[in-house]
Amino acid sequence: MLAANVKLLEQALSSPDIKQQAKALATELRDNFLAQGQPMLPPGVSVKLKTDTFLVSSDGDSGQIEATTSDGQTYVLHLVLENGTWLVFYTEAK
Amino acid sequence: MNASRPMRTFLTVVIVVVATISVATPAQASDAGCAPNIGKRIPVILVHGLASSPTVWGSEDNLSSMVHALNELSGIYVDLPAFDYSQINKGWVDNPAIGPKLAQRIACLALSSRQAGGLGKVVIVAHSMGGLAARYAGAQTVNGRKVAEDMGLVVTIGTPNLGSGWANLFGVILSSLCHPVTDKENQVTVSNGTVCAYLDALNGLQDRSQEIEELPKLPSDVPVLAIAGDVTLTVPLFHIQLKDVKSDVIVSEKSALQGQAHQDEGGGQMVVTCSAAVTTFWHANCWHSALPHNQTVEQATVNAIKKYLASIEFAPTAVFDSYIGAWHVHGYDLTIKSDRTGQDIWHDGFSPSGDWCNGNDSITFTVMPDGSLVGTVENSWYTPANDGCSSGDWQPGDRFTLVHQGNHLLYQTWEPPVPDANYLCDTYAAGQGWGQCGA
Repeated sequence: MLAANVKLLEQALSSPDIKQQAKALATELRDNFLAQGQPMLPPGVSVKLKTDTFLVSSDGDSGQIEATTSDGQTYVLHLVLENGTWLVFYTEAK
Repeated sequence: MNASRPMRTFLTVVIVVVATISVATPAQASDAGCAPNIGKRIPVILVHGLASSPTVWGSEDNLSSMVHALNELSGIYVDLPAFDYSQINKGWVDNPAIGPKLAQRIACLALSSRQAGGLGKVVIVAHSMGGLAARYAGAQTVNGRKVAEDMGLVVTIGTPNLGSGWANLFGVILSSLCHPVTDKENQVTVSNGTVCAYLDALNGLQDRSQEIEELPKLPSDVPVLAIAGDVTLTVPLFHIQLKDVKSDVIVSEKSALQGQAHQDEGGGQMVVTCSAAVTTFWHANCWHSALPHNQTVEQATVNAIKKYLASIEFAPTAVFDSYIGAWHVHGYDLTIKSDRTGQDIWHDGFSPSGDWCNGNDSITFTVMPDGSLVGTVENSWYTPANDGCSSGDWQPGDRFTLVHQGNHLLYQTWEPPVPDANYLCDTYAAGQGWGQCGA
């Protein structure tokens, strides 16, 4: 994953603003996410991606990467490739 | 009236002799055995989706299956084994084993029904691409007859009527299942094959989006019940659970509900809802693959067929439609129009000046409970006028009865009774020179 993509995801997910958080999500999910009005992470909690855990599916359309949050949790982020950018479509707590 | 009777009697004798010595065409012969015990029941044909098989409908001994639910319903004939194109995993509906074969089967069942004195309309219950195959079949002509005319109620279940009906997100979910990021085997088995079989199929359908949009729609007079699945998927995103709706994971609700028509005849639309986690959506009983054996879908299908049967009984439009058109026997032409009026014209000898005299009747029609059609003469006249042609053949109020005799023939008897009766041929039979059509 390109460094710019990593930065985009980390900054968006760590933002307290749900509009910024939405930028990290798969397009299909954004409207629903904004409509429900709750941030994915509480304000002040930041996200760090572990780039050495990045895996891509055999068809290249989906992938996953581990992430840690500043409140001590580890998640697997399931990603979709949209127009060259990896975006989150769901997460699993590890 | 007497002037025409000798001719009608002569024609009838000729026709009966010709009919007796004529041999049925191959098409007639092969059609005859399609559903030999159908009686007056309405045939029902089950059409599975792409990358699926007839097993999706279950079996008679499976009490929770579509086949069992339909077999419990009186007045219908479930065509079993169900229509099968399972050997064509990635084909399009124009594959000879799919749409064209379905058209043949519908025409065959309709013919068997008519031959047994039934209505000749076929109910179609179709899952996923089976509904597109039905649209294709409805635009075909078999043995000179439009298959659309043989279609009764159509029930579509999760049919992607608008082309690529699946959202990108779900494609990603399926893709991630079927093209795992690790070496671990991640193939998910569902009740009918695997999720990945659906991925392949839907990739195929997505590639066909343009063709789906260009497929002819079902005729506007065909009642259609469109059933959609709506899985509320729970998508975990860190501390929240997002709900995503409006599809059966494969086909969007909007796409599946297209084409619904004629609520009063069993048509309409219905959405079956359920919930699942995004990571285990194949456990949901309303996702695409589960819809054909979803009990709510089965009940809705049964109820729609009941309503259709009732509508036939009380609103005989479908019966009348089967008579609309031009009918012919040597020296006699009958036209039946959709507004339930018509006209006949017959050659009736020569006038004193040597011109052909033609008898003409304007007619109104009434459908009878037994499926026959009664024509009542409203007015009768001779042409050319003022040429000495005799008059008084038929009188206002005289009646005749028409009944179907197979796919292309009507049998006509007059009231008051006359010793003669006619077979009438449609344009196909007349064009083929069938013996019943006269010289």
